[in-house]
Amino acid sequence: MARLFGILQKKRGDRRSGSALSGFVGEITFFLLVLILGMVSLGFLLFAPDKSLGFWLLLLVVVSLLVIGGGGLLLAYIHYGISPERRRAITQKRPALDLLKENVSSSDRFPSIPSDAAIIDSPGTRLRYRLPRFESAFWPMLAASLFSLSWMAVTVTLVVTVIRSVLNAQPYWLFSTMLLGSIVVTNWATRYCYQQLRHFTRVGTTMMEISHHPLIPGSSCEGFLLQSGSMKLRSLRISLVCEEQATYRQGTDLRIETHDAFKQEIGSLENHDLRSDRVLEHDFQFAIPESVMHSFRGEHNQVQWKLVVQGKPESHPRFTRSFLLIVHPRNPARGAG
Amino acid sequence: MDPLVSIMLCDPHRLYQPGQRMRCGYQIDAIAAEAIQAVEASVLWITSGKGDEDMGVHEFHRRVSDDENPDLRALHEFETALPNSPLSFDGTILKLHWLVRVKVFPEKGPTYTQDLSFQIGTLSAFVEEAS
Repeated sequence: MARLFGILQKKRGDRRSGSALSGFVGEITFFLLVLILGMVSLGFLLFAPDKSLGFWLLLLVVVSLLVIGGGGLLLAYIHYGISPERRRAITQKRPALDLLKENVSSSDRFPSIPSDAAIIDSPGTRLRYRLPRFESAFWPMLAASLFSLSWMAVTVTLVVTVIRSVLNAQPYWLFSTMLLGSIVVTNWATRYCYQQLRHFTRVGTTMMEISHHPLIPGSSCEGFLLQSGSMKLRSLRISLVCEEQATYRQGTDLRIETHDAFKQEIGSLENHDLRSDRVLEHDFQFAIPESVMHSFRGEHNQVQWKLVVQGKPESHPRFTRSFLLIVHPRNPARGAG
Repeated sequence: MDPLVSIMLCDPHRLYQPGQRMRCGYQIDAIAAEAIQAVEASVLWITSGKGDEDMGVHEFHRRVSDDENPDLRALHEFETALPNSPLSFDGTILKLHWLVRVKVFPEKGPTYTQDLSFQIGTLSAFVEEAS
């Protein structure tokens, strides 16, 4: 049992600080109490003389208690009665090793390696495969727009309320103070949204293509970059990155930590003027080093290989775009790929 | 007193290549035959490091004490073809270990677990060229 719990640090050592049995007893007790509460409430509700509109709402609450209590009890029993290995063996997708099966996907032959469907399904214009982008610019843009519009609505409502109160000679000081804060937030959100929109329209699209897939350690590959947009580009760098990524819970927060296990600059361009009729095209070559970890994806941990493009425009904020690569392990027994 | 579990692998160096066949045996001692309810043996990988633990089970066997298997303590062997991935890995914030895990479920008392690690592949540590 841990003597002291660190509040602002990740728990180290054994991930469990008490016995499994005490945890099981605690869980069972909690869900049993919820179930009993639900059953008692149901009894009271069914024999209540007045079954008005509130009856159905209360019935919904009671049924929820019964479902949570009963379901929780069942899950706790299953979790305690079956070992994690057995549970995992039952639920885990078995690799399709059937030789008679024609279309065995690479994720079946190489378990825990991310699916390459997005790469195979997307042919390139100059090289064979077009790489999928990690992050989409659309969602940050949408989030910034929604945030900005929401605060604008709050500000307008506060302005109307404050003006009315002033006209009625009964000014609301609290609302007036809130209005000042709201104006500051709206101003910041609108500027940020405008910057995102400008960035979205000026930077244009980045396309990355490769000649080989899947890549294996020690192999080399040709690459092709196309950058469109309407801006003066001070510099553009292409890097090959292998990143370890770990996701963990800290209290109720979900945290992600990354570490660049390998990073190599494979291309650098300077001073390019991009216009609608003049895109930047660049051919390059890169090699996956020998004896490196292949791509890996677990539930909470990943090893990601990617090509990262970092651009530095003259009058805009820097931009970074990442493209997923799939690296398979070298397989001396059967041959990779 | 905890039961004694011995796990043996065919390769004494415990170093395997992807796709290679691995033969494994285990034997239980220091516990009465009738005191064992079930035994589970699995070939699995787990992660350790900064992130929450992930686990993948490659091979799983469960033996229950019954008329056919009255004594689960005797040497039991099984063979499996190792998968192509994931390979053993020793990173900075992520490590991936392959294990043979034997779990003994006694009639009374807590479960006893014994692990024996082995390696798939021969990955050396990364050399950071720039970061």
